[in-house]
Amino acid sequence: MTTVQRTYLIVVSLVTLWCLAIVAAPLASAWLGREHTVAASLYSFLNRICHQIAERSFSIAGEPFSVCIRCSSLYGAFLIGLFTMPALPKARVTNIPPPLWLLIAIAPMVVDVILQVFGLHPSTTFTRIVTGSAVGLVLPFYLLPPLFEAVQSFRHQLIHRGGSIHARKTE
Amino acid sequence: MLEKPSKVRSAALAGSAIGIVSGVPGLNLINCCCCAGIILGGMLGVYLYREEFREGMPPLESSDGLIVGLLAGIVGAFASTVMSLMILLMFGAVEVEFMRGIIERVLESLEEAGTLPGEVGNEIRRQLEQSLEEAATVTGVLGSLLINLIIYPIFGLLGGLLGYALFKPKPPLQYVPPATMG
Repeated sequence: MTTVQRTYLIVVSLVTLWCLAIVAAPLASAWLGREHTVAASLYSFLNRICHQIAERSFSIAGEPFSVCIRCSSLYGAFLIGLFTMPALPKARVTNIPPPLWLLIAIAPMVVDVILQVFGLHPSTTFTRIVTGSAVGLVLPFYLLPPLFEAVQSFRHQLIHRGGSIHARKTE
Repeated sequence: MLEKPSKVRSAALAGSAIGIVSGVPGLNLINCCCCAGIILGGMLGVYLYREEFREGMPPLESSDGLIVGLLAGIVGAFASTVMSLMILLMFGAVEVEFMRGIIERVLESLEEAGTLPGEVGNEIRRQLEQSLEEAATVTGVLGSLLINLIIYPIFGLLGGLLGYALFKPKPPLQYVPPATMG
C-alpha cells in the first residue's frame, strides 16, 4: 500500500467518524437521555462549530442532529466526495483544481447566508442542502492533493534524516 | 541556497487574527459556519508566509502550509481563550447577553410564525440559559480551552492546506521561441 493510499484511508476513517458523531449525538440523546454524558459531550463538542438551532437541523428519533442542515450536508457531501476520488483518474486526485471552481462552489452559500442575514430572502431547507453539499463535494479535491504531497514530503524528510543519522553513527 | 523563512511569525499573526475573530462577541458568530473564522485564519497564515519568501529560497510546499495552519490553530486556541477571559473580566458576561438577545429573537419569530410550539420554545430557552450561564464563568472559559485545543488545530490545518491550494506559487513559464518560417 502506498503512502497516498494509507493517507487516503486514514482521512476517510476520520471523516466517517466525524459524520457518525453528528448522528450519534441525537441517537444517544434519544436512547440514553439528553443529560447523559455521551449525548451532552457530543452536543457540547460540536456546539463549537455550529449554532445547533434545532429548527434548522435534521432530526432522528425525535432529536436534532448535532450540527445544522447546512453543516450536515457539507460534511456528508465531503464524505461522498472522498469516496468518489478513487474512481477518478489519478491526475484529478493528485493535482489541485483551479481556485475558480472553489469560488463557484462557495458563492451560492455565501449569497444564501447574506440574503438570510439581511432579511432579503429566507434560507430554506432546500437551499441549505444544495449550498452546503456544493462546498462539501468540491473541498476534498482542494484538501487531499496538498495533504498527500505534505505527507510524502514529511516521509522523505524522515527517511533522509534517518539515513544521515545512520551514516553518522557508522562513521 | 537560502533557507526558508521561519513559520513562527506568520503563524503567530494568523493565530492572533483567529483569536480576535473567535474571542470577540458577535464576530465569533462566523465560526458557526463550519469554523469559517479558523479556516480563514489558517489561509491567512499561508498567505503571510508566502509573502516572506525571497528569491533564492526553496519554493513554498504543501507541508509548509500544513504546519503554518496547524500552528495558527494552536496559537488561535490560546488567543481566543485570552480574549474571552479579558472580555469576561472587563465587561462581565457581555457575550451571554448578546447570544441571549439573538436566540430570543429567533425563538420569538419562530413562535409567531407558528412553527415552534410554546412549550418547546420554553424548554429550548431553559437549556440555552443553563449552557450560557456555565460558559460565562472563568472555569467555563478555561474548560473550553481544552476543546478549542482539539478543534482549532484541525480547522487551522484545513485552512493551511486550502491556503496552499489557493496561494501556491505558479510554476515559472518556460520560454518557447516562436517557430520560424521557412
